[in-house]
Amino acid sequence: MVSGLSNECLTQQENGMKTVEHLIEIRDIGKEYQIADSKVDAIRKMDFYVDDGDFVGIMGQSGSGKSTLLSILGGLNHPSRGEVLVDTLDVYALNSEQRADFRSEYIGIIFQSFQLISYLTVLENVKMPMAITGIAAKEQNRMAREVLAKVGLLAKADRLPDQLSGGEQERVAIARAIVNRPPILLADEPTGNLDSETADEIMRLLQQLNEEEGLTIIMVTHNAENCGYAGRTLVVKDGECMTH
Amino acid sequence: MAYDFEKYRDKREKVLGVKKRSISFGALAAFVSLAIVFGLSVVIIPRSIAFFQMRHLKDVIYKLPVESSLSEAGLAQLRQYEGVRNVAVDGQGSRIIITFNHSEVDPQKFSTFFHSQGVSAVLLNQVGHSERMQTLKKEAEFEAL
Repeated sequence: MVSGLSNECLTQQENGMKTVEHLIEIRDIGKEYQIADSKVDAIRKMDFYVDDGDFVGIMGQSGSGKSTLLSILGGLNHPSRGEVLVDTLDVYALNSEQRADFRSEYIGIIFQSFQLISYLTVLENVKMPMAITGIAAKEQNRMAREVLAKVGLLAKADRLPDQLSGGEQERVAIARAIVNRPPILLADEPTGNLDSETADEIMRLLQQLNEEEGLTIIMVTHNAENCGYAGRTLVVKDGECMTH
Repeated sequence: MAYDFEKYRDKREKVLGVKKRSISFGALAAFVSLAIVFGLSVVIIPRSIAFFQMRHLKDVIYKLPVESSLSEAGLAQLRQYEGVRNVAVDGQGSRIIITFNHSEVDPQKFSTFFHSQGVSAVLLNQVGHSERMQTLKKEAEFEAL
């Protein structure tokens, strides 16, 4: 019996999960890439946490390691060392099938370039992440329409992405990212391709999702104004977290 | 917000495989395999049983002369032969078809029997029982057209 641990902690340990105090805990991660004969430290050392319902901005110059960090957080890029714990799960100790389920259940991702499928309608694009979930088609339609209403695009559900503005395409990408109701939304430069007015709209939408839906958002950006919407900002420089 | 271990229990259990998302691939594969095996068994097993039941059976077809016929008593006597499974007479009473187990009875005995009854029956054909059944079935299908 380990003294000082609650019953909950003991249950977590018995099930092979880690004892945590925050929804996301990044413990001493590092990431090295081998390029030809030399090693590049994309992430030297990072150690931080994100609580449930936080809106965290990650700021840094190009090449500072912020996108690498985001891909590691999303279960897409194995760190060279350290642990990524999400909801007690050691993400990189999971097998590949479990990690795919982890991404499906916990993570929604939006990209700077939207990554919409051009020959599918808005509704079909939003339904894409549900294709492998086993949710009935009727329920998929209902969920997709509900989330499109949330981002203000229900009226354009049958349009193709090319028939939408950049801001609307980003809204579709957000709808697609949250349709499976993941608790965590990762945003990689979500306003990078938008004019400042549309960027503000998107940032307000993200803020609304954070405040009203309780969505935990981790947003990578090099725009200091965007970080004004976040509750907390981490600055990444040369593969290290400078401000916490 | 303080960390709540219970909040995402459902998601965590899905990831760890405690709670199944839907039918697993293994279960689906087993179900499809069983369906195939069941389907095949429905077709193959009855045929196999029929084959094993009929593999020793043969039919001999005798033609009776116009002026003579075999009495009911004679037919009954024929049915009593060891190894004889069935004796049938066609609608005109001109042909007798005897189904028998060729491992139990020598068909030569039938000719001897007819001779003893004073009936000059002529052996028209001797075929496997199942083969004759197939022929009759095909003829019936052809006539139905």
